[in-house]
Amino acid sequence: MHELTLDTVSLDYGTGNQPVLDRVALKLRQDEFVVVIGRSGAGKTSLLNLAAGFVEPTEGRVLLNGKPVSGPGQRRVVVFQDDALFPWLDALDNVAFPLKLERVGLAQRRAEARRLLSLVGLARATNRRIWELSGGMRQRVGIARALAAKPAFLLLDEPLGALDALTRSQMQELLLDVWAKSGVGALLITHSIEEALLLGTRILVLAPGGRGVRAEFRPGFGRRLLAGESAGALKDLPEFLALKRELVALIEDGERTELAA
Amino acid sequence: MTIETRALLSHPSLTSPEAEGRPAPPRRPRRKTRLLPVLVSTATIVSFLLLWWLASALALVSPVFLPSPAAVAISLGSLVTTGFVDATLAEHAAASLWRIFGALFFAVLIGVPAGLVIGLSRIGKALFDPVVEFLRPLPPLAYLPLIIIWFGIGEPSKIIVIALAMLPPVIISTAAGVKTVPKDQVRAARSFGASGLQVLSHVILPNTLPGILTGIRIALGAGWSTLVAAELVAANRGLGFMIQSASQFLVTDVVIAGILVIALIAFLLEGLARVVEARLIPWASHRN
Ligand SMILES: Nc1ncnc2c1ncn2[C@@H]1O[C@H](COP(=O)(O)OP(=O)(O)O)[C@@H](O)[C@H]1O
Ligand SMILES: [Mg+2]
Repeated sequence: MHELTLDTVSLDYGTGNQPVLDRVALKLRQDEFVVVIGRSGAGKTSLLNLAAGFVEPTEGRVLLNGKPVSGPGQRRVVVFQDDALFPWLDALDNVAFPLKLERVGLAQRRAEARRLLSLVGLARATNRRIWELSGGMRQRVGIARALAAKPAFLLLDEPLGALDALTRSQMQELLLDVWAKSGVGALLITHSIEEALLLGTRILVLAPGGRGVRAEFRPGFGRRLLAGESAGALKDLPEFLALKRELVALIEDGERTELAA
Repeated sequence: MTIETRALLSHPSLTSPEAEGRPAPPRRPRRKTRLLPVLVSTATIVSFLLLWWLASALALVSPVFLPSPAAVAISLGSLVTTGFVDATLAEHAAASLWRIFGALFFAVLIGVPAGLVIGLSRIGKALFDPVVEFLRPLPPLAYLPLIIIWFGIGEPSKIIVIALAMLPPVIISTAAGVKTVPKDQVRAARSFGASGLQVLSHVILPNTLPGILTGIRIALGAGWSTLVAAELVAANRGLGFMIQSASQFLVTDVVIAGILVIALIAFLLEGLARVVEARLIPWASHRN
């Protein structure tokens, strides 16, 4: 069981403004699906970039299993909103790409890529060009490619943000399914409250102005979704609606104190 | 079309969102709108030939200045079979093409790495920019005499001059290509554990390829104009040399035939570049 820790990290882009993140602490276990939610500009992407090793904290440390890590890689893989697929490769070779970096032989890496593509429901799109794929299919390829790197943690920065509503809810269930089957820890960034409630084993509300995690929730709807209950029915539950109201209030309130400050 | 406009046209906000699992239908070629420009262009060429024929048929201009289309066609035929100044047309063309592609080889060999360095590092840019900015506005003929003093009147001088003319476009387009590399692709590769060298070869180079090919296309154009001039000085083969000799003897039909052949080769090279682009980087027009 791997564990990724942000040990009271601060981040300052050196623009002279207040730090984007101010002494934020976060512990992520491999069996968790942690969702970070907050208004845009709250520092969600910055938090993920710290966790991924794309930027180094100005204060504090990033730890993997208790040991400090720096730089990207090392069991942490990122899925971006803009899929970041390689258009000169077809779907299969995009997924096989991380294995190519490790110099896995062609036949073996393609076999593994095929397995991962069917895990994300794209068994029949292997030889398709990237630009022939819809937004949702591209994100599936992106997720399969990330899994090919054999990560312990999947870091997802609003991967469903650009999708239409229908595709988005299909992809939410797929994400949850992949998480359950692959055994990776997930850190998902979103500004959709419903998405956070449906998927997260833990939800962190990020306060604006670098003030860190404002509140933490442990909703159990993901387990029920995995067990076969429908997303529509879950969203109508009184406890779902109550939590949703609470989250909305928290995020809006955060905004109000931000304005007052 | 520049890479920037291509990127702009394929920007997601300009394309409609597609339903899940249903890719965009293949674009149907629009026959009517394509046919019209071709017809107009053909009409331009035909009327140009007609005017030319009329001018010489009515003897408006002396044949010494403007031979008839028929005379040019005949001289083209004899250029192919018996040749002019000790070489057939094919031999002249081969000499010129050899210089062009020899120069292109060196321009790419030096220009692509230099462009990569400029695009990738601020220090590299500071290092090479003065050289590029010095070379770029200089007409190659201005430094040809110096090259001849240094390297003599042989083949190397010609190739060096042409390569120097080709270098700026290759460098500039390569560097511009580096700027189009999506940051997230680099980050994705880094998170898969790619080394710096792997990022360069697997992410940056493929993304830069469209820029490099654009540079090569521009370089071929620059190369042709320099070639003809370079062959005016101390050559005994080549299309430029052929035209120059013909003009000295007032063999105007060969001059015109030579010009037409140069235009034709340039046109074919442009077509070849397009084919190469379509095969090598079909994705370039689709990237976002
Ligand atoms: N590379 C950067 N340089 C300077 N400021 C940045 C940079 N990236 C983000 N910021 C600033 O940091 C704040 C948080 O941004 P971000 O982490 O992207 O928030 P979110 O993802 O929640 O919208 C914003 O005010 C943004 O302008
Ligand atoms: Mg963001």
